[in-house]
Amino acid sequence: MIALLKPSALSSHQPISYFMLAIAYGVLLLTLTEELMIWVIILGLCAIVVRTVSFEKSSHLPNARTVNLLAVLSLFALTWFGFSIGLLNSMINLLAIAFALKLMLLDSKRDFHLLFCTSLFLIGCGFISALSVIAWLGYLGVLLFLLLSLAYYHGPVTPLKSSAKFVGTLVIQSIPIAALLFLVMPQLPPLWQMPTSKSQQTGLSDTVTPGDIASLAKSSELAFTATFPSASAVPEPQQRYWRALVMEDFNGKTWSIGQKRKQAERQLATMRRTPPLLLLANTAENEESDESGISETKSYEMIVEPTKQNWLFALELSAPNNGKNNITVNAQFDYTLRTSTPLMSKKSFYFDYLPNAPVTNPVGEFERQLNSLLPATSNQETRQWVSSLKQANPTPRGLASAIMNYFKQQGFTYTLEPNAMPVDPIDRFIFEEKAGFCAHYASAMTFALRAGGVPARMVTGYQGGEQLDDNVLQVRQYDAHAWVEALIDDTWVRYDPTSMVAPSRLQYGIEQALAEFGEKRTDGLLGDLREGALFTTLQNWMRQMDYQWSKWILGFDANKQKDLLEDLLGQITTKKMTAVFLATLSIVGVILLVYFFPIQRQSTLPKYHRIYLNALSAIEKHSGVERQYLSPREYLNKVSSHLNENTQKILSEMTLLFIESSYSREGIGDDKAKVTLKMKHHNRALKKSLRQ
Amino acid sequence: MFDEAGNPQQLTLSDNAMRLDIEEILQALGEKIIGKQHQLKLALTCLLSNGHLLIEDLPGMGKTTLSHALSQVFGLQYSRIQFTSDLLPSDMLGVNIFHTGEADTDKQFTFRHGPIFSQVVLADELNRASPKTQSALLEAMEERQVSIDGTTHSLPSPFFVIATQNPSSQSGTYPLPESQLDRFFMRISLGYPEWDAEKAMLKQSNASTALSQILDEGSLTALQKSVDDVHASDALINYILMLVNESRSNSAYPNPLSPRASRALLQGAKAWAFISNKAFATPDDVQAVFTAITAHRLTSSSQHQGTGFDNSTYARESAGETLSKKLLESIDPLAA
Repeated sequence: MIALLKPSALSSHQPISYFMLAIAYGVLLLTLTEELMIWVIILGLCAIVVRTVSFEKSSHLPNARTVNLLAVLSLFALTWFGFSIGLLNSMINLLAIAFALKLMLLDSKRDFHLLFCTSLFLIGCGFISALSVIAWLGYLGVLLFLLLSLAYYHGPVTPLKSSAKFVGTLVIQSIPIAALLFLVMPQLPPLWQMPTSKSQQTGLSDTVTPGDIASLAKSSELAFTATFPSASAVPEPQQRYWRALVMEDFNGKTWSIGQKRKQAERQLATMRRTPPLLLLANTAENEESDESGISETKSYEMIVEPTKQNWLFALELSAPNNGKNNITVNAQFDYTLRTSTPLMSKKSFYFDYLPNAPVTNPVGEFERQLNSLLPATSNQETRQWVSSLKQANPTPRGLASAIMNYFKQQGFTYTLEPNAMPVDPIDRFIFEEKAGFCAHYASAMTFALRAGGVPARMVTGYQGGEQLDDNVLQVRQYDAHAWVEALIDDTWVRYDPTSMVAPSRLQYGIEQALAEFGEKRTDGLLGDLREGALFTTLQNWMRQMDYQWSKWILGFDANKQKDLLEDLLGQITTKKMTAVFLATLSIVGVILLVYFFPIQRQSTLPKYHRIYLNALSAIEKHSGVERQYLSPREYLNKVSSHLNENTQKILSEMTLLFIESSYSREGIGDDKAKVTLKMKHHNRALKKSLRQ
Repeated sequence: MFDEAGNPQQLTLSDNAMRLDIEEILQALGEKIIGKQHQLKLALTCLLSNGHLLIEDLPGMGKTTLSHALSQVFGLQYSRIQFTSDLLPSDMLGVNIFHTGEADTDKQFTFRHGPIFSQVVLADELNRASPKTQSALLEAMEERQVSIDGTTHSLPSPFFVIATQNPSSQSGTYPLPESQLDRFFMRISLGYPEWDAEKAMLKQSNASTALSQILDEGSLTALQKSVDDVHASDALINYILMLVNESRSNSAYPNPLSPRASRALLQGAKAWAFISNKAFATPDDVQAVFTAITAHRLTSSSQHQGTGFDNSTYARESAGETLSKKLLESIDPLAA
C-alpha cells in the first residue's frame, strides 16, 4: 500500500479548490469584458467548463498536446489582433489566455500556485479601468474567494467553514497594517509608464459632427466631480460652463481642432511664450496677495474620471494649480488645458477659478484668419441669408444678436433625435428642420458668423452639473454641451445659441429642457423606472458613496498625505519624516514578528544536542538536502550519497553519538563534558571536511 | 559501524535467542505474504504490544492468510467469526444452556463458550454486524473478559483480535464510531502486491501448506515482557508528546489524539525497536508506526468513514493517512 502511493497523492480537497479557482477566474473574465477580446472570453469559459466537467475525474482533462496546440493558435491570434488593441490590452489578454490554458492542465501544487498568482495580476488589471467602490468591493470578494480556495487547498481535511474562518481571521489581522501603510508610507510615483490603450475613448471626442454629442447625452456616466471650498463658491447654474476643446476647423460637415492650430501651439511652446491663461493667473494672484483670503474661496478640486485623452476641462476660466497637481496641466493659447500624460485612471486636479476673466486673442492676426475660414462652396442659402442680415446689422455684436434672435423667433425646437442632414447640413438645419441640439445650434451659428465676416469658433465641454452636496457638483456625460465664441474687439465673447431655444437647459439641465419639448433622455421601461422616487434615492446614495470614495481613498495622494502628517506632526522636516517612516515600519514589523514568531519553548536542549543541530544545518546548506522532520538516522541515510567519504564517516559518528546520548538507557550519563567535547571535536572535523 | 539498514550494530539486544525467533517469524510470515515486509512487521508490532489489529482491505488481499499465519507461528488457538447483520452477541460470546440429564445434579445451566474464547480471533467484515454485536466485541477486547447472566468469564491470554473491514461496497454496513476505532491499536492495509511479489506468489508451489509453529505460548509472553524493557528516553517521550499536543492545539485536526493513542505510540515504538533489534527506541521507531497507529484515530466523523479509496484509484491515500502524515511532518524530532 505504502509503496503504491504516488508522491503527489491527491487529497480530497483538490477538485473543490480547483473548481473555486475556476469560478473566481470566470468572475474576473466577466469584469474584464472591456479589455478582453471576445474569443479570449470564450476560450476562458470553455476552460472553466472543462474544469467543471472533470470535477471528479481528471481523466476528462485534455492532454498536454492539445493544450500546446491551442496555445500556439492563441499566440498567433493574439499577435494578429495585438496591433489593433494596443500593448496593455494585449498583455491582459495574454494573461487571461495563459490562465485558461493552464486551468485545463491544472494538476499539481505548482500549477495551483501559479494560477493563484496570475489571478491576483488579473485583479490588478481590473483596477486599471474600474475604480469605483462597487468594483473595489467586487474585487475584494474575488480576492477573499481566492484566498479561501488557497487555504482550502492547503488545509487538511476540515470543512470549508473552518477554512473560511481562518482566512477571515488573517484578513482582519491584515487590515490595520494595510491602513497604516496606506496612510503613512510614501506614495511613490509609478515606476513605469502605463502603455496607452487603443480601446474606445470616453467622453467628448476631438471632432464634432453634429450628432455626436447626442450619443453622449444617452450616457449618464460620471464625467467628473468638482468640490468647492464652500457652498457660496459654487457658481450659478448659468455660469457652469466647463470648457474643454476649441474647434476651429470646419470641412462643411465636421468641426475639428485644426492642424494649423496644433502646429502653432507647438511653435509657441518651443518659443517658450507664456500662455495667456497663466499670465491671468499670475496677475490674479498678485491682486489677491493684497486682499488676503480671497484665494481660498476661488480654488476648487476636480476628480476626473479616466478619459484616456490628454485634454482636460475646467470652469471657464480656470488656471491649473500645478503646485498641487500630480499630473502637470499645461495651458494652451486657445485657453484649453492639456495634461502631460493621458488620463488613464481617476485623478484629482486643482484649479483656481477666475470668473469674468476675458478670453483674449493672444496671437493676433493668426487666430483671426484661422477662424474666418469657410469651405469654398456648400451651404449657399445660409451665406445669402447672413449677407442680408449683415446689411441690417453691420456691427459684429449686432450680427451675433440677430442670429441669436433668429433662433428664438423662428420656432426652433430642442431635440436629441433630429433627422440626419447629410448634404448642406447647416442650410437644412436653419431653413428646413429647425430642430436639433446644442451641436447643431453652435455649428450653425459659428458658420453664420464666419460667413458674416466675424471670426468665430465652436467650443465643446460640459454645461451644468448636479449638486451632490452644498459644495460638490457632479457632471455627467449627458451634460456635454457645445457653444460659440466670436472674436469681437480682440476678445472672444461666448454665445450660447441653445439657450435661446431652450433656456431651461442652462438653468435646470438637459432633462428639463427635453421635457419642455415632450422628449425623454432615456426611453423605455428603464427610463420610467429611473424616475421613481426609490430609484432616485438609491442613485443619490450611490453617487454620494462613490464621491466620498474618490475623494478620500483614490484621491489620497502625496499632497493629502503631507497635509495629514502636517496636521499630526506640525512642520515637516526630513528627519521627522524619516523617523515616522521608520517607526511605522518597525511597528508593522513588530506586529508581524509577534504574530509569526513561533512561541519557542525555553531552550533546554543540552549542549551536545545544539552542536549536533549546528552540524546538521551546515550539512543541509552544503548538500541542499533538507532535513525537515526526518529523524537523525533517516537523514543520515538520505544525505549520505551527497557527501564525500570523510564527511559521511564523521556525520555517522556524530549521529551515533547523538542517538546513544539522547535515547539509550545509559543516556549521557556522567560524562556530560566528555560527550560535549567529543561532539565539538567531530563538528570541527566536519566543518573542515565540508570546506575541502 | 552501521549495517546495511543503517542500524548501529553495537546496540543489539543482549538476548540473541529472541532475536533469532523474531527473524524466523518474519521470514515464515514473509513466505505466506510476499512483498509486504513492512505490514508484517507492523502486525507483529501490534501483537507484541498486546494490542488489537484492524485490517482494512479489499477482498482477496490476504487478510485471513495473515491472521491465520500469525496464529500458526505463535502456536495460538485460532477462531474466525464471520460478521453479518443478523449475528447476535450471543452467537459470538456463548450462551448458558440448561442440561436435562437423568440425575438432579445434571439439571443445571452450563456455559457453552462462543468462538470468541480463542487466543487469536479473526472478526471478518466487522462493519457488517449490528452496532450491538460490534460493541459486545469491542467491550470484550477492552475488558479481556465476558459477562453473561451475571457470571464473568475470562478470555484466554494472550487475546488478540484481528478485525477486517472492506472499504468498498459500504452499503448495508454500520461504520465503527470513533470511540470504538480508538480501541484498535493500529490499522493497516495490505494493498495490491508489487509485480515481482505477485509473480513470486503465483509461482509458489507450497502456498497452501500450513506454517510450522515457531514459538510456544510462553515465549510470546516473554517477548511482550522484553518489549516493555526496551528503553524510552525523555527525549523520545517528549517527541511523542509534541506530536499529540500538535494534534490537540491545531484546529486542522478534527479528532485530536487521546492519551490512549499516546500510550499506543510509545508502546508501538518500543515494539518496533525490539523487532528492529535495538535496546532502545528512537524517533525512527515512532515514525515507522505513526501512520498505522494514528490514521484511524485522526479521521473526522464527517469524513467518509474509514477510507478514501475506491476501486479505480486504489492507491489514493485515505483522509486519515493524509492527516497523519501532515502531523508527522509538522514536528521536528530534534526539537525535543
